Amino acid sequence: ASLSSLTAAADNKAVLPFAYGERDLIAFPEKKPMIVLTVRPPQLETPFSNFDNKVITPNDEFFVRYHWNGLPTSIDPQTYRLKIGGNVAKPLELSLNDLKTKFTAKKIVAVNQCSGNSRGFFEPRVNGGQLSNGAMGNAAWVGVPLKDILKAANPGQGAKQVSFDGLDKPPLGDGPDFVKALDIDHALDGEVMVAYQMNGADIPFLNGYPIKLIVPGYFGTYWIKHLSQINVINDVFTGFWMASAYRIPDTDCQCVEPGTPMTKTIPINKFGVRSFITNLNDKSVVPVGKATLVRGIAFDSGAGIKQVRFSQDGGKNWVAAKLGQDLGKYSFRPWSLEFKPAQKGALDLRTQAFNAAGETQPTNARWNPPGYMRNVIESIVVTAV
Amino acid sequence: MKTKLVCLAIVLFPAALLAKEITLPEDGILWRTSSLPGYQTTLANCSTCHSAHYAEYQPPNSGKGYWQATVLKMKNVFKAPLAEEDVPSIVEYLTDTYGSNRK
Ligand code: HEC
Repeated sequence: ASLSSLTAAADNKAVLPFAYGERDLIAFPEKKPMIVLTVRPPQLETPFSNFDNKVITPNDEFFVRYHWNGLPTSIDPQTYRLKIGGNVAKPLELSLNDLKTKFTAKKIVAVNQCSGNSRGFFEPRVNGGQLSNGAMGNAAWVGVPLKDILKAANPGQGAKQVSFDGLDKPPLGDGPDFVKALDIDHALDGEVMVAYQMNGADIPFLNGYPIKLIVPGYFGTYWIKHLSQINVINDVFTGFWMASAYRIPDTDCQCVEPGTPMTKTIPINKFGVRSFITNLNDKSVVPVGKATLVRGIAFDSGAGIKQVRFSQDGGKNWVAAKLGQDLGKYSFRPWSLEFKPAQKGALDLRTQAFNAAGETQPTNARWNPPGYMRNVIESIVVTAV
Repeated sequence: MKTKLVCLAIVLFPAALLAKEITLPEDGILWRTSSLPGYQTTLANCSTCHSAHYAEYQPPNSGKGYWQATVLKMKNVFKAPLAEEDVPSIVEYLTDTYGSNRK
Protein backbone atom coordinates (compact mmCIF):
# COMPACT_ATOMS: atom_id res chain seq x y z
CA ALA A 1 0.00 0.00 0.00
CA SER A 2 2.74 2.43 0.95
CA LEU A 3 4.56 1.79 -2.32
CA SER A 4 1.52 2.49 -4.47
CA SER A 5 0.74 5.67 -2.56
CA LEU A 6 4.32 6.80 -3.09
CA THR A 7 4.04 6.31 -6.83
CA ALA A 8 0.71 8.08 -6.82
CA ALA A 9 2.30 10.98 -5.00
CA ALA A 10 5.09 11.17 -7.56
CA ASP A 11 2.54 11.13 -10.41
CA ASN A 12 0.71 14.02 -8.83
CA LYS A 13 3.73 16.30 -8.67
CA ALA A 14 5.51 18.49 -11.14
CA VAL A 15 8.78 20.32 -10.68
CA LEU A 16 9.16 23.57 -12.57
CA PRO A 17 12.77 24.46 -13.46
CA PHE A 18 13.34 27.26 -10.94
CA ALA A 19 13.81 27.51 -7.17
CA TYR A 20 10.66 26.64 -5.19
CA GLY A 21 9.22 25.09 -8.34
CA GLU A 22 7.57 22.01 -6.73
CA ARG A 23 3.89 21.89 -7.70
CA ASP A 24 0.86 19.65 -7.25
CA LEU A 25 -1.01 18.30 -10.26
CA ILE A 26 -4.75 18.29 -9.52
CA ALA A 27 -7.83 17.67 -11.69
CA PHE A 28 -10.28 20.53 -11.14
CA PRO A 29 -13.88 20.39 -12.49
CA GLU A 30 -13.86 19.79 -16.27
CA LYS A 31 -10.04 19.71 -16.27
CA LYS A 32 -7.36 17.08 -16.59
CA PRO A 33 -4.65 17.22 -13.90
CA MET A 34 -3.06 20.67 -14.19
CA ILE A 35 -0.11 22.35 -12.49
CA VAL A 36 -1.56 24.13 -9.46
CA LEU A 37 -0.32 27.64 -8.80
CA THR A 38 -3.03 28.26 -6.21
CA VAL A 39 -5.98 26.06 -5.28
CA ARG A 40 -8.10 28.93 -3.96
CA PRO A 41 -8.90 30.84 -6.07
CA PRO A 42 -8.12 28.36 -8.87
CA GLN A 43 -4.96 29.17 -10.84
CA LEU A 44 -3.89 26.32 -13.08
CA GLU A 45 -1.11 25.99 -15.62
CA THR A 46 -1.01 23.58 -18.57
CA PRO A 47 1.84 21.02 -18.34
CA PHE A 48 4.13 22.08 -21.19
CA SER A 49 4.30 18.70 -22.91
CA ASN A 50 0.55 19.05 -23.61
CA PHE A 51 1.36 21.69 -26.25
CA ASP A 52 3.17 19.19 -28.43
CA ASN A 53 1.64 18.23 -31.77
CA LYS A 54 -1.59 20.14 -31.38
CA VAL A 55 -2.52 23.59 -32.64
CA ILE A 56 -5.66 23.84 -30.52
CA THR A 57 -5.43 23.53 -26.74
CA PRO A 58 -8.24 21.25 -25.52
CA ASN A 59 -10.77 22.78 -23.12
CA ASP A 60 -9.82 20.39 -20.33
CA GLU A 61 -6.15 21.41 -20.61
CA PHE A 62 -6.62 25.18 -20.90
CA PHE A 63 -5.02 27.34 -18.17
CA VAL A 64 -7.11 29.04 -15.46
CA ARG A 65 -6.46 32.31 -13.68
CA TYR A 66 -8.70 34.00 -11.08
CA HIS A 67 -7.94 36.89 -8.73
CA TRP A 68 -10.71 36.57 -6.14
CA ASN A 69 -12.12 33.46 -4.49
CA GLY A 70 -15.62 34.92 -4.66
CA LEU A 71 -16.23 33.11 -7.92
CA PRO A 72 -19.57 31.55 -8.81
CA THR A 73 -19.95 27.79 -8.33
CA SER A 74 -23.44 27.53 -9.81
CA ILE A 75 -24.59 29.31 -12.97
CA ASP A 76 -28.03 29.02 -14.49
CA PRO A 77 -27.89 29.57 -18.26
CA GLN A 78 -31.65 30.24 -18.38
CA THR A 79 -31.53 33.26 -16.12
CA TYR A 80 -28.02 34.48 -17.00
CA ARG A 81 -27.97 38.07 -18.23
CA LEU A 82 -25.33 40.33 -19.79
CA LYS A 83 -26.09 43.98 -19.09
CA ILE A 84 -24.86 46.86 -21.22
CA GLY A 85 -25.13 50.28 -19.62
CA GLY A 86 -23.36 53.56 -18.94
CA ASN A 87 -23.28 56.12 -21.70
CA VAL A 88 -25.60 54.33 -24.14
CA ALA A 89 -28.88 55.41 -25.69
CA LYS A 90 -30.41 51.98 -25.19
CA PRO A 91 -29.30 49.96 -22.14
CA LEU A 92 -29.56 46.23 -22.82
CA GLU A 93 -30.08 43.05 -20.86
CA LEU A 94 -29.23 40.09 -23.02
CA SER A 95 -29.94 36.44 -22.29
CA LEU A 96 -27.72 33.71 -23.69
CA ASN A 97 -30.49 32.98 -26.13
CA ASP A 98 -30.49 36.63 -27.26
CA LEU A 99 -26.74 36.43 -27.88
CA LYS A 100 -27.17 33.26 -29.91
CA THR A 101 -30.23 34.31 -31.93
CA LYS A 102 -30.29 38.10 -32.26
CA PHE A 103 -26.73 38.54 -33.53
CA THR A 104 -24.62 36.98 -36.26
CA ALA A 105 -22.13 34.52 -34.82
CA LYS A 106 -18.45 34.90 -35.58
CA LYS A 107 -15.59 32.46 -35.07
CA ILE A 108 -11.99 33.37 -34.35
CA VAL A 109 -9.04 31.19 -33.39
CA ALA A 110 -6.97 33.11 -30.88
CA VAL A 111 -4.26 32.57 -28.29
CA ASN A 112 -5.01 33.61 -24.73
CA GLN A 113 -1.88 34.20 -22.69
CA CYS A 114 -1.56 35.24 -19.06
CA SER A 115 0.38 38.49 -18.52
CA GLY A 116 2.58 36.63 -16.04
CA ASN A 117 3.17 33.59 -18.23
CA SER A 118 6.82 32.51 -17.71
CA ARG A 119 7.31 34.84 -14.70
CA GLY A 120 9.26 32.14 -12.84
CA PHE A 121 12.08 32.50 -15.40
CA PHE A 122 12.75 36.17 -14.65
CA GLU A 123 16.30 36.83 -13.44
CA PRO A 124 16.54 38.40 -10.93
CA ARG A 125 13.37 36.63 -9.76
CA VAL A 126 10.28 38.80 -9.24
CA ASN A 127 7.26 38.28 -6.98
CA GLY A 128 3.81 37.28 -8.16
CA GLY A 129 2.44 34.03 -9.57
CA GLN A 130 5.47 31.82 -10.29
CA LEU A 131 4.44 30.35 -13.64
CA SER A 132 6.51 28.49 -16.20
CA ASN A 133 5.44 28.59 -19.87
CA GLY A 134 2.04 26.92 -19.60
CA ALA A 135 -0.25 29.87 -18.83
CA MET A 136 -1.27 30.15 -22.48
CA GLY A 137 -3.55 28.30 -24.86
CA ASN A 138 -5.12 28.49 -28.31
CA ALA A 139 -8.82 27.96 -28.94
CA ALA A 140 -11.56 28.48 -31.52
CA TRP A 141 -14.00 30.98 -30.00
CA VAL A 142 -17.54 31.46 -31.28
CA GLY A 143 -19.64 34.42 -30.20
CA VAL A 144 -20.81 37.91 -31.06
CA PRO A 145 -18.53 40.78 -32.10
CA LEU A 146 -18.60 43.29 -29.24
CA LYS A 147 -19.08 45.98 -31.90
CA ASP A 148 -22.52 44.56 -32.79
CA ILE A 149 -23.60 44.52 -29.14
CA LEU A 150 -22.35 48.07 -28.56
CA LYS A 151 -24.01 49.30 -31.77
CA ALA A 152 -27.30 47.83 -30.53
CA ALA A 153 -26.89 49.78 -27.28
CA ASN A 154 -25.75 52.89 -29.18
CA PRO A 155 -22.92 54.61 -27.27
CA GLY A 156 -23.42 58.34 -26.70
CA GLN A 157 -21.22 61.35 -27.45
CA GLY A 158 -18.01 61.51 -25.46
CA ALA A 159 -17.65 57.75 -24.96
CA LYS A 160 -13.98 57.10 -24.22
CA GLN A 161 -13.67 53.59 -22.79
CA VAL A 162 -15.72 50.48 -22.18
CA SER A 163 -15.44 48.59 -18.86
CA PHE A 164 -16.04 44.89 -18.32
CA ASP A 165 -17.03 43.05 -15.16
CA GLY A 166 -17.71 39.37 -14.50
CA LEU A 167 -19.45 37.44 -11.73
CA ASP A 168 -16.27 36.82 -9.70
CA LYS A 169 -16.13 39.09 -6.67
CA PRO A 170 -13.93 39.85 -3.65
CA PRO A 171 -15.10 37.63 -0.78
CA LEU A 172 -15.13 40.60 1.60
CA GLY A 173 -17.18 43.68 0.76
CA ASP A 174 -14.71 46.43 0.00
CA GLY A 175 -11.78 44.90 -1.90
CA PRO A 176 -11.30 46.09 -5.49
CA ASP A 177 -13.56 44.10 -7.83
CA PHE A 178 -11.81 42.71 -10.91
CA VAL A 179 -12.93 45.10 -13.66
CA LYS A 180 -11.01 45.89 -16.86
CA ALA A 181 -11.42 48.49 -19.61
CA LEU A 182 -10.58 48.97 -23.28
CA ASP A 183 -10.55 52.16 -25.34
CA ILE A 184 -13.81 52.63 -27.25
CA ASP A 185 -12.10 52.32 -30.67
CA HIS A 186 -10.59 49.00 -29.63
CA ALA A 187 -13.94 47.78 -28.28
CA LEU A 188 -15.51 48.66 -31.67
CA ASP A 189 -12.81 47.10 -33.86
CA GLY A 190 -14.99 44.11 -34.81
CA GLU A 191 -12.49 41.59 -33.46
CA VAL A 192 -13.09 41.89 -29.72
CA MET A 193 -16.00 39.58 -29.00
CA VAL A 194 -18.28 38.01 -26.43
CA ALA A 195 -17.79 34.25 -26.83
CA TYR A 196 -20.24 31.57 -25.73
CA GLN A 197 -18.43 28.64 -27.25
CA MET A 198 -14.87 27.32 -27.00
CA ASN A 199 -13.60 24.61 -29.34
CA GLY A 200 -17.14 23.58 -30.28
CA ALA A 201 -18.41 23.18 -26.71
CA ASP A 202 -19.62 25.33 -23.83
CA ILE A 203 -16.78 27.35 -22.29
CA PRO A 204 -15.54 25.34 -19.26
CA PHE A 205 -16.82 26.76 -15.98
CA LEU A 206 -13.35 27.81 -14.82
CA ASN A 207 -12.59 29.52 -18.14
CA GLY A 208 -15.63 31.79 -17.80
CA TYR A 209 -18.83 29.86 -18.47
CA PRO A 210 -21.20 30.84 -19.99
CA ILE A 211 -19.64 33.89 -21.70
CA LYS A 212 -16.17 35.36 -21.85
CA LEU A 213 -14.68 38.47 -23.42
CA ILE A 214 -12.19 37.62 -26.18
CA VAL A 215 -9.55 40.28 -26.89
CA PRO A 216 -7.38 38.84 -29.68
CA GLY A 217 -3.67 39.60 -29.37
CA TYR A 218 -4.09 41.09 -25.89
CA PHE A 219 -3.02 39.48 -22.63
CA GLY A 220 -5.54 37.35 -20.74
CA THR A 221 -6.14 40.00 -18.07
CA TYR A 222 -8.68 41.59 -20.44
CA TRP A 223 -10.51 38.33 -21.22
CA ILE A 224 -13.17 38.75 -18.50
CA LYS A 225 -14.79 35.49 -17.40
CA HIS A 226 -18.50 35.05 -16.53
CA LEU A 227 -18.95 38.42 -18.28
CA SER A 228 -21.98 40.14 -16.74
CA GLN A 229 -21.71 43.92 -17.08
CA ILE A 230 -20.41 46.16 -19.87
CA ASN A 231 -20.38 49.92 -19.29
CA VAL A 232 -19.60 52.67 -21.77
CA ILE A 233 -17.76 55.43 -19.88
CA ASN A 234 -16.57 58.93 -20.68
CA ASP A 235 -13.23 58.77 -18.84
CA VAL A 236 -10.23 56.53 -18.52
CA PHE A 237 -11.27 53.80 -16.09
CA THR A 238 -9.49 54.15 -12.74
CA GLY A 239 -10.16 50.81 -11.01
CA PHE A 240 -7.25 49.12 -9.20
CA TRP A 241 -6.70 46.40 -11.83
CA MET A 242 -6.22 49.00 -14.59
CA ALA A 243 -4.66 51.96 -12.77
CA SER A 244 -2.32 50.15 -10.33
CA ALA A 245 -1.98 46.51 -11.40
CA TYR A 246 -1.15 45.08 -14.82
CA ARG A 247 1.10 48.05 -15.70
CA ILE A 248 4.25 47.84 -17.83
CA PRO A 249 7.11 50.34 -18.26
CA ASP A 250 6.37 53.04 -20.83
CA THR A 251 9.70 52.51 -22.62
CA ASP A 252 10.46 51.23 -26.15
CA CYS A 253 11.36 47.73 -24.94
CA GLN A 254 8.63 47.74 -22.28
CA CYS A 255 11.44 46.85 -19.92
CA VAL A 256 13.81 48.45 -17.40
CA GLU A 257 17.35 47.71 -16.19
CA PRO A 258 17.07 44.40 -14.26
CA GLY A 259 16.44 45.01 -10.57
CA THR A 260 15.33 48.62 -10.99
CA PRO A 261 11.84 50.08 -10.47
CA MET A 262 9.48 51.33 -13.18
CA THR A 263 8.81 55.05 -13.35
CA LYS A 264 6.31 55.91 -16.09
CA THR A 265 3.87 53.06 -16.80
CA ILE A 266 1.03 52.14 -19.16
CA PRO A 267 -1.56 49.33 -19.01
CA ILE A 268 -0.26 46.02 -20.35
CA ASN A 269 -1.61 45.40 -23.84
CA LYS A 270 -0.45 43.16 -26.74
CA PHE A 271 1.79 40.10 -26.63
CA GLY A 272 5.22 40.04 -28.19
CA VAL A 273 6.30 37.37 -30.68
CA ARG A 274 7.06 33.97 -29.10
CA SER A 275 8.11 30.50 -30.24
CA PHE A 276 8.68 27.22 -28.44
CA ILE A 277 10.02 23.75 -29.16
CA THR A 278 7.39 21.29 -27.91
CA ASN A 279 8.70 17.78 -28.72
CA LEU A 280 12.13 18.00 -27.06
CA ASN A 281 13.23 19.20 -23.64
CA ASP A 282 16.33 19.43 -21.47
CA LYS A 283 16.18 15.67 -20.82
CA SER A 284 16.00 14.64 -24.49
CA VAL A 285 18.71 12.52 -26.05
CA VAL A 286 19.21 12.78 -29.85
CA PRO A 287 21.38 10.70 -32.22
CA VAL A 288 24.43 12.34 -33.88
CA GLY A 289 24.35 12.43 -37.67
CA LYS A 290 20.78 11.18 -38.01
CA ALA A 291 17.73 13.22 -38.98
CA THR A 292 15.77 14.24 -35.86
CA LEU A 293 12.36 15.88 -36.03
CA VAL A 294 11.97 19.09 -34.06
CA ARG A 295 8.64 20.85 -33.92
CA GLY A 296 6.77 23.48 -31.97
CA ILE A 297 4.52 26.50 -32.01
CA ALA A 298 4.89 30.22 -32.63
CA PHE A 299 2.48 33.13 -32.18
CA ASP A 300 2.28 36.89 -32.02
CA SER A 301 -0.40 39.49 -31.35
CA GLY A 302 -2.05 39.35 -34.78
CA ALA A 303 0.32 40.50 -37.52
CA GLY A 304 0.75 36.78 -38.18
CA ILE A 305 3.83 34.54 -38.02
CA LYS A 306 5.92 34.88 -41.16
CA GLN A 307 9.01 32.85 -40.39
CA VAL A 308 10.44 30.56 -37.72
CA ARG A 309 14.12 29.69 -37.69
CA PHE A 310 16.03 27.10 -35.72
CA SER A 311 19.54 26.82 -34.36
CA GLN A 312 21.32 23.81 -32.84
CA ASP A 313 24.39 25.79 -31.77
CA GLY A 314 23.02 28.40 -29.39
CA GLY A 315 22.08 30.90 -32.10
CA LYS A 316 25.27 31.03 -34.19
CA ASN A 317 23.79 29.35 -37.28
CA TRP A 318 20.12 29.27 -38.23
CA VAL A 319 17.96 27.30 -40.67
CA ALA A 320 14.36 28.05 -41.64
CA ALA A 321 11.61 25.80 -40.28
CA LYS A 322 8.56 24.74 -42.29
CA LEU A 323 5.36 26.46 -41.18
CA GLY A 324 2.29 24.25 -40.68
CA GLN A 325 -1.47 24.73 -40.73
CA ASP A 326 -2.62 28.37 -40.68
CA LEU A 327 -5.72 28.80 -38.49
CA GLY A 328 -5.56 32.60 -38.59
CA LYS A 329 -3.30 35.42 -37.56
CA TYR A 330 -4.15 35.18 -33.84
CA SER A 331 -3.61 31.42 -33.64
CA PHE A 332 -0.66 29.27 -32.66
CA ARG A 333 1.25 28.47 -35.86
CA PRO A 334 2.84 25.05 -35.85
CA TRP A 335 6.31 24.65 -37.36
CA SER A 336 8.71 21.76 -37.83
CA LEU A 337 11.94 20.67 -39.46
CA GLU A 338 14.45 17.85 -39.42
CA PHE A 339 17.96 18.50 -38.25
CA LYS A 340 21.09 16.40 -37.98
CA PRO A 341 22.81 16.84 -34.63
CA ALA A 342 26.37 17.73 -35.67
CA GLN A 343 28.45 16.49 -32.75
CA LYS A 344 28.28 14.59 -29.46
CA GLY A 345 27.51 16.40 -26.27
CA ALA A 346 25.25 19.25 -25.23
CA LEU A 347 23.36 21.00 -28.04
CA ASP A 348 21.76 24.36 -27.30
CA LEU A 349 18.55 24.40 -29.38
CA ARG A 350 16.83 27.72 -30.06
CA THR A 351 13.96 28.99 -32.18
CA GLN A 352 13.20 32.51 -33.25
CA ALA A 353 9.93 33.64 -34.83
CA PHE A 354 9.34 36.73 -36.98
CA ASN A 355 5.92 38.23 -37.67
CA ALA A 356 4.54 40.01 -40.73
CA ALA A 357 5.19 43.38 -39.09
CA GLY A 358 8.93 42.61 -38.90
CA GLU A 359 8.91 42.07 -35.14
CA THR A 360 10.84 39.26 -33.51
CA GLN A 361 12.04 37.85 -30.20
CA PRO A 362 14.97 39.42 -28.33
CA THR A 363 18.21 37.47 -27.80
CA ASN A 364 18.47 38.63 -24.19
CA ALA A 365 15.54 38.49 -21.79
CA ARG A 366 13.89 41.82 -21.08
CA TRP A 367 13.07 42.56 -17.47
CA ASN A 368 10.36 44.48 -15.62
CA PRO A 369 9.36 44.40 -11.91
CA PRO A 370 5.92 42.77 -12.32
CA GLY A 371 7.38 39.96 -14.46
CA TYR A 372 5.25 40.47 -17.55
CA MET A 373 5.69 39.77 -21.27
CA ARG A 374 8.67 37.42 -21.37
CA ASN A 375 9.36 36.63 -25.03
CA VAL A 376 13.10 35.99 -25.22
CA ILE A 377 14.49 33.39 -27.66
CA GLU A 378 14.17 30.28 -25.49
CA SER A 379 16.93 27.73 -25.24
CA ILE A 380 16.76 24.04 -24.42
CA VAL A 381 19.85 21.88 -24.05
CA VAL A 382 19.59 18.32 -25.35
CA THR A 383 22.27 15.64 -25.32
CA ALA A 384 23.54 14.25 -28.63
CA VAL A 385 24.99 10.72 -28.50
CA MET B 1 -47.10 8.39 -11.16
CA LYS B 2 -43.41 8.74 -10.47
CA THR B 3 -42.75 9.80 -14.08
CA LYS B 4 -45.53 12.36 -13.83
CA LEU B 5 -43.96 13.87 -10.74
CA VAL B 6 -40.58 14.10 -12.44
CA CYS B 7 -42.12 15.79 -15.48
CA LEU B 8 -43.92 18.22 -13.23
CA ALA B 9 -40.66 19.02 -11.49
CA ILE B 10 -38.98 19.70 -14.83
CA VAL B 11 -41.81 22.02 -15.86
CA LEU B 12 -41.84 23.86 -12.55
CA PHE B 13 -38.10 24.08 -11.89
CA PRO B 14 -36.39 23.85 -15.26
CA ALA B 15 -33.74 26.37 -14.27
CA ALA B 16 -32.70 24.54 -11.13
CA LEU B 17 -32.25 21.40 -13.18
CA LEU B 18 -30.14 23.09 -15.81
CA ALA B 19 -27.84 25.15 -13.62
CA LYS B 20 -24.21 24.21 -14.07
CA GLU B 21 -22.41 23.58 -10.79
CA ILE B 22 -18.86 22.89 -9.74
CA THR B 23 -17.25 21.75 -6.51
CA LEU B 24 -13.73 23.01 -5.93
CA PRO B 25 -10.96 21.11 -4.11
CA GLU B 26 -9.74 21.92 -0.60
CA ASP B 27 -6.71 24.20 -0.08
CA GLY B 28 -4.10 21.40 0.15
CA ILE B 29 -1.05 23.53 0.95
CA LEU B 30 -1.32 25.20 4.35
CA TRP B 31 0.68 27.93 6.11
CA ARG B 32 4.07 26.55 7.19
CA THR B 33 4.15 25.80 10.89
CA SER B 34 6.28 27.91 13.20
CA SER B 35 6.65 28.64 16.90
CA LEU B 36 6.67 32.38 16.13
CA PRO B 37 3.59 34.25 17.39
CA GLY B 38 2.97 35.56 13.86
CA TYR B 39 2.08 32.04 12.75
CA GLN B 40 -1.13 32.08 14.80
CA THR B 41 -1.97 35.60 13.61
CA THR B 42 -1.44 34.50 10.01
CA LEU B 43 -3.69 31.47 10.51
CA ALA B 44 -6.37 33.76 11.88
CA ASN B 45 -6.12 36.45 9.19
CA CYS B 46 -4.72 35.20 5.94
CA SER B 47 -6.99 32.51 4.53
CA THR B 48 -10.21 34.41 3.89
CA CYS B 49 -9.32 35.32 0.33
CA HIS B 50 -6.79 32.75 -0.81
CA SER B 51 -4.86 29.61 0.01
CA ALA B 52 -1.33 29.65 1.46
CA HIS B 53 0.02 28.87 -2.04
CA TYR B 54 0.39 32.63 -2.54
CA ALA B 55 3.24 32.71 -0.03
CA GLU B 56 4.52 29.17 -0.60
CA TYR B 57 5.78 29.75 -4.14
CA GLN B 58 7.35 33.21 -3.81
CA PRO B 59 11.02 33.05 -4.83
CA PRO B 60 13.88 32.69 -2.31
CA ASN B 61 15.03 36.31 -2.78
CA SER B 62 11.79 37.63 -1.17
CA GLY B 63 13.14 39.54 1.81
CA LYS B 64 11.59 41.41 4.70
CA GLY B 65 10.87 44.42 2.47
CA TYR B 66 8.72 42.28 0.21
CA TRP B 67 6.79 40.67 3.06
CA GLN B 68 6.23 44.01 4.76
CA ALA B 69 4.95 45.60 1.54
CA THR B 70 2.79 42.58 0.80
CA VAL B 71 1.08 42.46 4.20
CA LEU B 72 0.40 46.20 3.97
CA LYS B 73 -0.98 45.70 0.46
CA MET B 74 -3.32 43.00 1.82
CA LYS B 75 -4.51 45.41 4.49
CA ASN B 76 -4.69 48.69 2.61
CA VAL B 77 -5.45 47.69 -0.99
CA PHE B 78 -7.24 44.36 -0.73
CA LYS B 79 -8.90 45.37 2.57
CA ALA B 80 -7.83 42.41 4.69
CA PRO B 81 -9.35 43.17 8.12
CA LEU B 82 -5.98 43.19 9.91
CA ALA B 83 -5.19 45.05 13.12
CA GLU B 84 -2.27 47.46 12.71
CA GLU B 85 -0.51 45.91 15.72
CA ASP B 86 -0.60 42.43 14.13
CA VAL B 87 1.39 43.50 11.06
CA PRO B 88 4.95 43.25 12.54
CA SER B 89 4.50 39.70 13.88
CA ILE B 90 3.01 38.47 10.59
CA VAL B 91 5.90 40.06 8.68
CA GLU B 92 8.41 38.45 11.04
CA TYR B 93 6.79 35.02 10.61
CA LEU B 94 6.67 35.29 6.79
CA THR B 95 10.25 36.56 6.50
CA ASP B 96 11.53 33.78 8.72
CA THR B 97 9.44 30.95 7.29
CA TYR B 98 9.34 31.75 3.55
CA GLY B 99 12.07 33.48 1.52
CA SER B 100 15.70 32.38 1.70
CA ASN B 101 15.54 30.67 5.13
CA ARG B 102 12.84 28.28 3.97
CA LYS B 103 13.45 24.71 5.08
C1 HEC C 1 -9.26 40.63 1.70
C2 HEC C 1 -8.61 39.67 0.91
C3 HEC C 1 -7.26 39.17 1.31
C4 HEC C 1 -6.77 38.83 2.55
C5 HEC C 1 -7.53 38.76 3.86
C6 HEC C 1 -5.38 38.50 2.35
N1 HEC C 1 -5.04 38.58 1.03
FE1 HEC C 1 -3.25 38.09 0.20
N2 HEC C 1 -3.95 38.58 -1.65
C7 HEC C 1 -5.23 39.05 -1.91
C8 HEC C 1 -5.33 39.33 -3.32
C9 HEC C 1 -6.57 39.85 -4.03
C10 HEC C 1 -4.07 39.04 -3.89
C11 HEC C 1 -3.63 39.21 -5.33
C12 HEC C 1 -4.28 38.17 -6.11
C13 HEC C 1 -3.87 38.11 -7.54
O1 HEC C 1 -3.22 39.01 -8.10
O2 HEC C 1 -4.23 37.11 -8.13
C14 HEC C 1 -3.24 38.56 -2.81
C15 HEC C 1 -1.91 38.15 -2.96
C16 HEC C 1 -1.09 37.69 -1.95
C17 HEC C 1 0.29 37.29 -2.11
C18 HEC C 1 1.06 37.28 -3.41
C19 HEC C 1 1.52 38.67 -3.64
C20 HEC C 1 2.35 38.87 -4.87
O3 HEC C 1 3.50 39.32 -4.72
O4 HEC C 1 1.84 38.63 -5.95
C21 HEC C 1 0.75 36.94 -0.87
C22 HEC C 1 2.15 36.47 -0.52
C23 HEC C 1 -0.34 37.12 0.06
N3 HEC C 1 -1.46 37.56 -0.61
C24 HEC C 1 -0.26 36.90 1.42
C25 HEC C 1 -1.25 37.23 2.34
C26 HEC C 1 -1.06 37.24 3.77
C27 HEC C 1 0.23 36.91 4.49
C28 HEC C 1 -2.26 37.63 4.32
C29 HEC C 1 -2.58 37.90 5.75
C30 HEC C 1 -1.77 38.85 6.41
C31 HEC C 1 -3.20 37.83 3.23
N4 HEC C 1 -2.55 37.59 2.04
C32 HEC C 1 -4.52 38.17 3.39
C33 HEC C 1 -6.25 39.20 -1.02
C34 HEC C 1 -6.16 38.99 0.36
